[in-house]
Amino acid sequence: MDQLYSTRRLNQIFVALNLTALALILITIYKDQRPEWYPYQTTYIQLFRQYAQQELNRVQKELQGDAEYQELKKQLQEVSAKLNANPRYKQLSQQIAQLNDELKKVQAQLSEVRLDYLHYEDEHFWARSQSAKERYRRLMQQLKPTVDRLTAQMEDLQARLLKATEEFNALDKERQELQKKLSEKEFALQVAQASVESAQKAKPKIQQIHNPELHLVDRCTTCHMGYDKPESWGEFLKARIAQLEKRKAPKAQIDILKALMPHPRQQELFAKHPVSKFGCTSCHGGQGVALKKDVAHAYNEKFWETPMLPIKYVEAGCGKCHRYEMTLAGAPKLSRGKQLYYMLGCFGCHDAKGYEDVPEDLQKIGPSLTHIATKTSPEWLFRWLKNPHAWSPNTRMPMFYLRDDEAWALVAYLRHATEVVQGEAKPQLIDLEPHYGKQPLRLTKRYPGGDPARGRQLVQQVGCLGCHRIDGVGGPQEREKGKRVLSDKDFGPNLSKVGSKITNPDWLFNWLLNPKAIDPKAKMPNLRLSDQEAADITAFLLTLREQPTARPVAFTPTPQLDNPELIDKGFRLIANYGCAGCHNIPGTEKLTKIGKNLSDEADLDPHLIDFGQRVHEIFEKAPTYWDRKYIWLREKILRPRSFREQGLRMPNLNISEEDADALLTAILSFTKREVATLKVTATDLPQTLYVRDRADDSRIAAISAGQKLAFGYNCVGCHIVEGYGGDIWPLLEDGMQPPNLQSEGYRVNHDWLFRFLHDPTMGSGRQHYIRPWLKVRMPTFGFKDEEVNTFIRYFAALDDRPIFQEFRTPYRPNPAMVAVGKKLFDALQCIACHPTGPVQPGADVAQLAPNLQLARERLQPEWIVDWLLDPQKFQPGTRMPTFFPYNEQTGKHDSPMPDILGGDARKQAEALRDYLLTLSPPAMAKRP
Amino acid sequence: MSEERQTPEQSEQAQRPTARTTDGQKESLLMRIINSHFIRSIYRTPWPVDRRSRIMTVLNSLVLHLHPTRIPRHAVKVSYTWCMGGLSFYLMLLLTITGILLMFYYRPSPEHAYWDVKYLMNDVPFGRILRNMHRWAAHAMLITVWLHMLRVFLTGSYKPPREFNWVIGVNLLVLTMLLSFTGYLLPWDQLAMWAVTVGTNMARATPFLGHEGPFGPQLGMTPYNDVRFALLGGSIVGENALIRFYVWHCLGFPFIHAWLMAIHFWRVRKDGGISGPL
Amino acid sequence: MAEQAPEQEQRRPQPAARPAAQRPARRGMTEEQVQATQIAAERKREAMEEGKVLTWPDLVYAEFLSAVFLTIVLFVVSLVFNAPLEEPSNPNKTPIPSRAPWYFLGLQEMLVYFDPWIAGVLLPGMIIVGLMVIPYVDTKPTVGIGRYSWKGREWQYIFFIGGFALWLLLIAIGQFFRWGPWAIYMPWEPREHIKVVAEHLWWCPLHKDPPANMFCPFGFLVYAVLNGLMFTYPFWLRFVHKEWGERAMNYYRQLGLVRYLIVMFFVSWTLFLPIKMAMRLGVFPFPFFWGVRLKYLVVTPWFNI
Repeated sequence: MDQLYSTRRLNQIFVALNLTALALILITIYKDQRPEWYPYQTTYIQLFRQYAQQELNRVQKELQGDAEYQELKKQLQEVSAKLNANPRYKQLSQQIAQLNDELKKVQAQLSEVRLDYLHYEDEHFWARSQSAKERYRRLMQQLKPTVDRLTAQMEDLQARLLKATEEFNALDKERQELQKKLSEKEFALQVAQASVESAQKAKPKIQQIHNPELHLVDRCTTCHMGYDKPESWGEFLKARIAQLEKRKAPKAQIDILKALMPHPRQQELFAKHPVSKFGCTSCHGGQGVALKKDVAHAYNEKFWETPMLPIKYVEAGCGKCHRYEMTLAGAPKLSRGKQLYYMLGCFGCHDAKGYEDVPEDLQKIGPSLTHIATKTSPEWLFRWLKNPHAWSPNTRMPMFYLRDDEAWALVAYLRHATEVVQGEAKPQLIDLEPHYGKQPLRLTKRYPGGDPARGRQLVQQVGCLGCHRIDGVGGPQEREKGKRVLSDKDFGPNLSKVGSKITNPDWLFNWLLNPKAIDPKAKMPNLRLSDQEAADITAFLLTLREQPTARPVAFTPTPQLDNPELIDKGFRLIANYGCAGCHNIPGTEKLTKIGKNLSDEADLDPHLIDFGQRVHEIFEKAPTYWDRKYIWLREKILRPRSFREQGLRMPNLNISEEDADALLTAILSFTKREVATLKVTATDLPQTLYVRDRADDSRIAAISAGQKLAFGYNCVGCHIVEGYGGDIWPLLEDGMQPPNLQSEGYRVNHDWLFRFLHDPTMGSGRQHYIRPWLKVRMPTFGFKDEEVNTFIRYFAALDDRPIFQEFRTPYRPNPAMVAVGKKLFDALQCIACHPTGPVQPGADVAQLAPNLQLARERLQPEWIVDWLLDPQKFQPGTRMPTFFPYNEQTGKHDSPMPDILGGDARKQAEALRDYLLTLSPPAMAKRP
Repeated sequence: MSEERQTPEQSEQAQRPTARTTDGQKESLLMRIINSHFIRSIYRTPWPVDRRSRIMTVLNSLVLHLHPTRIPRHAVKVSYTWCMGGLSFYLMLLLTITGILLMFYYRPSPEHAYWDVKYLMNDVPFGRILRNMHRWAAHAMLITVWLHMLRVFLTGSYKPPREFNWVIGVNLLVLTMLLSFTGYLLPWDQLAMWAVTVGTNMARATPFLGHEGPFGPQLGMTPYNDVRFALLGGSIVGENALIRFYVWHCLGFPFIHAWLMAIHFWRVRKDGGISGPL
Repeated sequence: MAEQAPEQEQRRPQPAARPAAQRPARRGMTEEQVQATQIAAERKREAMEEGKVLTWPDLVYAEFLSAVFLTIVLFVVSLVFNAPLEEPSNPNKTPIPSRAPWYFLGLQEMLVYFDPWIAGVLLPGMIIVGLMVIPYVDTKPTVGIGRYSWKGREWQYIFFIGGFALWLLLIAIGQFFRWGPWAIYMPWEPREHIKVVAEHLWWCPLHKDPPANMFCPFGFLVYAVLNGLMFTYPFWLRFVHKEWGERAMNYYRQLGLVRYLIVMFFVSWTLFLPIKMAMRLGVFPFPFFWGVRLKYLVVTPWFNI
């Protein structure tokens, strides 16, 4: 036959092609059947079986070694034997079973009959014709006796059963109690047995957490099988890993084991964020549905916008929902970062979500420069602007890498805008002219001269060191970092060389007396210094001069500073570098924030980043695609100008790498994306757990606004608020420290707090009001009403108290209880620590506590009782003794005096409270 | 009874090749299966070993009879046809099958579309290869159709009497591109959305019918009544566009495509096979 | 086929002169069709002489094998390369660059050179219609039926393959040389930085900026003159070269006026496309335009080309 191609040849090709196709299909099927997660599960199942068995053995061994358990067991056996020997016991148990059977039978009959009866009744009611009515009435009549009989029978049986059961229980009581105790002991054993059983049954399969509300499908647990296992599982795995490492097992094998480790801090985290609801990706990021390691972690996935957060910045995940709180227990790094973002004034240039509620007066973290020219010399300003960190390494002022001519231009502008120039014509700057708002500065008093030694003492005592640092004064130079909000920065300027900076002693004197008189927005509060005190401190500060031995600083000679061109250049530089983001500078009122809004910086795609000249370096350094972004952001914080020679404006903050990481964690939490990437309507999640917008929750709003004040006015320099702050504490003796403000919102009356914050002397003019022995002074900040209200709302919200108490009649102590209270008050020797009058000199101040005469107007009645019962709950480590320790056995508080009020601790505490509330306020606290 | 039944079978046996060859050797198992009652009820013609049975095989098959039974020698060569027409058709079949399977897992709504595709890529058994095949086969089909057109031009196969089949072929090419383009939107990712945005933005500039085209505004065209609005069912690539594209992709265009293909094949057959005129 | 009507009108007086034997077997066929059908019949006879092979197995088996082969290729490709899936669509985030699917890159690329209504609507429409018109404006319906024949169809081959190559070129430029805001990037240029192209466009040959009266006479003139010269070439070419001129005239006569105009319309646009590309890219090899990125040649108040 005439053929173009040889059939044989075609057959050969056919066979070859089909074999290839078959092979490919087999490969595909194999790939589908043996997915990447398979070895994780097989390893897990194998190991978990061993672990469960091991646990079971351990628990059994423990129980065997437990003498009490063995004793219980023996007792139970004895008691059971005794009971079994008792004929009545056996009889009773048989009777109960019999009665139960009968009862069940009767109940079944009754319910059937009653159903019929009800049916007839119904028909009777609705029947239209008389005959039908009659018929049903007859039927009901017929059935009635049966119903009654059965009901009676049932009631009789029930009564008998009750009686028998009571008798039986009385006999059986001892055994039952033993049994209960025993089963409590055996609980761990049962758990272990159950886990062994479940381990035996386990088979590899895809695990999934699904929450349609969050559009969440997380299969992470398919590999991370051990995420919810106890810590002992982690220990078990660690031992295995160590073994494998010793054997030099392949890395892949060890990695599988590492993936099976349990989640840390489960109780703390999972309690409020149940995994069944939140899954994994809500916090960690990553591609939940994916089942391949690389795809799921998404470190290298260009097109997955929420890759897993690197473990270093994992706390950023908390900030996705907790956007407004600046402190978050359990997320120290994030909290630190958010605080730094605020305290370092990042928001001065970069707006960010969570920082919109910074109050007007705290918008600029730097000092107002309205009168800078009066205070210091142009040369000092120049040095400062060139490199503030050289003058004081701990300043918050960043370095802008200014050239000499730029620095001089800024000095020229500042002098021009702030100095009072009498009779001189202002330089003509047409476009700037209207913005000038020079206010002549009037220094009301002249510095009379003072005693530096006394000044030094005062500086140490009154609390200057809560904000300022002075080398060689007030304890160790390197203060404890502890929970300082600004870890290595100072809130106020370093005063170690202030004498070389201040050229006008009058200014300093007046400033110390009343800072707000010079600058209404000054953050420095009024410490109510007398003229003499202020003069002494001024004298002391003026002695703090730069060491002349230091190498003289070389700088270009001062140019002609009233040169209009130079001034104009200065203004342009201010506008360019955003100086007005932190400082009030006359003439810059119309300038806006210069930086990028960082509210969605976490959503930034690496491919939109301009890496500048470091592109290759960063790409090489970054192990994954998304790491490019993290590295870039971190470098931007640490070395902001390294990307390009020119055109960049971000200054050098001079912060540590640790702080940079914290800051980056905060920035990585600034996202506009809802949790789980999709729009969420979480209805069944508690609001406090799931706040996405401040408007959703007045509590979070109150906390957010309050923190802005508490950090912004540096309350945390002296007080401990939410566990943060207390910078001055290590510098003062015990007992001389400012109070810890924990549970302040529950402790004090809000109207009292309102008056106190307005005027800490409560109109008395005396320095100390509650704790008369303190040397450190609660300053007068001159808060506005709204600020004080914000504080009160904040403290109330922290303690979950109603924000602003309702109006109510004042609590009236029960006169009968007052006497009892007095007795208790004396018996417990409250007066020993709580002085009611002036403190005797030489008293041990470390033991002193607030004046209880103030209780009536200051403290909340409910709080007093709760506090007396358990002070440690409110302030762990407080010196207040726990008079009424909690007894776990009875579930009540014990009293040291069982003879009073029947030994009821709560009643006693209430009696004490009633007595305290009758104490009259001391004369010095009387309102004018 | 049994005898009655044997008679037709015997006569059948007489028609088809005997179980034994002329040499009296026993037939192989394969041949016995092929020649079994069941198989022969499907394929009427015997195993095509001789000229007659080969012709009958082509004639008796619905699919194969699109071809003539005999074809000029030069026109069968792969170097002549490049196999492009046949492969285009084959790809069309492949795309239909994979497409139907994909439809099981896909919901054309903005909330679901992307995640369904993610689901396909990550979880559905063989879902990833299914989607990959569909995507790459679509791209391959465009290439084969283009090359088919080039080949047809170069071999002058559009010349009379086959002019109109060329016109239909051009229409099929356009439809293939439209099918591919409408399918592009369905994953509902950035790539899809913006590619389609770029593509449909051109429609804004349609003369007379687009609100940015010449004489469009004069005729009262706005973004809300012009031809782009009709294409997308809205002024942006949104929910309506997705459902429109989905329906065109899965129903409208395949239907038209199949119809035109039927005509195309019919005319190929009538006007002279793959080779030249009859 | 409306353009064929006048043809028939023209030729109607002639049929009497035709031998009866050559009369079309079927009514309603044009002379070309008749002739082509005759040639086709001849080719069929040739084919018979050449010998035929059976569809089974030579054609069907080969088709089947190629299908299996293609399946394998697709399988391998699908196993190795994943179909792209990017981040979820977000109407507020424009990717840079936003690229059309590759088979439409030709159109997207043309958008650079023409206004959208030309590049996006007119040109695609013209391409489609132009392709469909091909069989009806073929002056050599009898040459190279069913075989590759460069000989006798030189111009057809050049024109078609040229057009095909131009289309591929546009796609290649769009796919491999465009990045960022649709700027030209050479393959060796780093794409990490977004290139800011300083486009100094000449609005039209006379104006660097949009002309005040929105009319560019010079460009319009050049366009008109060049087109006029092209459309009338059969009439003047004979003064340049006698043989070529005659050939051109023959071509014109073969097609008739209407079909000739249709052909010239498509040819002029096909030639205009690369010229406009070169002008727009500033590489037009003409001293006057060198380095000048020309936006429009024709500027009118209603449309610009």
